[in-house]
Amino acid sequence: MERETLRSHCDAYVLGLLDGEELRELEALINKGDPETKTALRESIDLVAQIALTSNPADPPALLRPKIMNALPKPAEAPPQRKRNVLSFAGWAVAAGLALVAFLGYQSANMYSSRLARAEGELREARQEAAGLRAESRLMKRVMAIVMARDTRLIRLASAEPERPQFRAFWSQPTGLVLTGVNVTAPQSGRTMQLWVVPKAGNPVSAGVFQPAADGQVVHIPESLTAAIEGSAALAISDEPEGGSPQPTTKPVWVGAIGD
Amino acid sequence: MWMLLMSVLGMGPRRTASPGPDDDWYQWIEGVARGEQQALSKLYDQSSRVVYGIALRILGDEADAEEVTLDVYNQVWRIARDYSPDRGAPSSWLIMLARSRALDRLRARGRRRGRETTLDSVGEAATGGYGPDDAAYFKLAAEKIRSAMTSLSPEQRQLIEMSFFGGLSHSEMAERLGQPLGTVKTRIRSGMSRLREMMSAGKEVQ
Repeated sequence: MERETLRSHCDAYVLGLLDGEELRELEALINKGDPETKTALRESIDLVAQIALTSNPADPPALLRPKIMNALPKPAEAPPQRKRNVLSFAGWAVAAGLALVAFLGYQSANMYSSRLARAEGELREARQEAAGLRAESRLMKRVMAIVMARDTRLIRLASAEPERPQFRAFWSQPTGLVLTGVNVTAPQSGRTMQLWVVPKAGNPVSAGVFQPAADGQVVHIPESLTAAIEGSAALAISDEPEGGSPQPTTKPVWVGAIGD
Repeated sequence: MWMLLMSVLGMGPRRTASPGPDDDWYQWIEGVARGEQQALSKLYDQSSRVVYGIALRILGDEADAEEVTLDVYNQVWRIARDYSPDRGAPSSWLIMLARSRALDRLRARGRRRGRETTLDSVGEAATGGYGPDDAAYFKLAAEKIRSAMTSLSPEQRQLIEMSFFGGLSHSEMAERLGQPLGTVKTRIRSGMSRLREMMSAGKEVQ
């Protein structure tokens, strides 16, 4: 292509006027990385852009500047660690496990001692309490097994209502799922909380109902987890009638993406 | 004019001896590419009157021009890392981005409302505008391109501005002006050639 023709085509291309065979011919040269075309195109861009300066500059609204700056996305967060990186996860898992043990142990000890004091002399009640603690102990062992498993993932369930606390779910493929929460407000009388596994396609599957303890603590391990969490989209918690529902009847209050 | 940076940075042939903003702009765009809000802030301060002015000229509506200006700087923030000197000098890149976003909005609006440049509006656009607050290089650049435009025939000038600010195709311009398609193509081609000649290094604009 002759130099003048190339320049002329580049001018028309930058103005958006080139079409047909001429357009195809120029695009072929651009795609080929032809140096002469590259130079001609750059010169055309610089020339055409100057036509803009025949228009008068104008002051944009004063509020536009902060509007633009405030709309910028926040600086990117550090890339998330690979969820299945067992080595990097181990330290976290141990810390989380110990924290959970300490937390549950503290709660249990408090509960045990205060109730024993109140139930002094009432052997039957004490035995019942002991049975409860044994159950808690078993629960704690199950929780620990899940939290300390090598493949455990952490799923955070957040609410759109900022005043509500966050739930955490620890999930290990072979060991199971445990949902934990603190400072959770109990649902109204006749209502319960229900955990759902939300698949990528199809209906949510129930992962059991639960109630927070009087102190707002939740430790819920679904007894029969029929839904395959691996490959599902999210966990969700909704407010349901007592006894639970086959399908959610209200909009989920907490949702946490499971991720890949 | 705008191309000085290319020569300074050794990224292109020296083609003009005029001062240009692009050494600063290049650094700001690099800063934006690194996620530095301050760099975008400086770029905005130096260029927003031009960007907004282009959008206003193309769209003829302040609210639309404001939206386009917001879009332009948002896009700069997102794609600054894709900028390369092959896309023109930094200032050219930003101006073409503004033109492109404004024309997109114009087309989406589905109404051109006679915003294509008329002979009258060419004259109007070529007077005043750049004031003491504008950077010297903009004043010089505007003066030079406006002088160069006056060296074109009124028909050439009208068609080039209709194309740039109206985003019209050859056939749309031919239809609106009642001119043969071939005449429109020839006038734009010869007009751009004349502009290049007038703007190139060593040529004095009359």
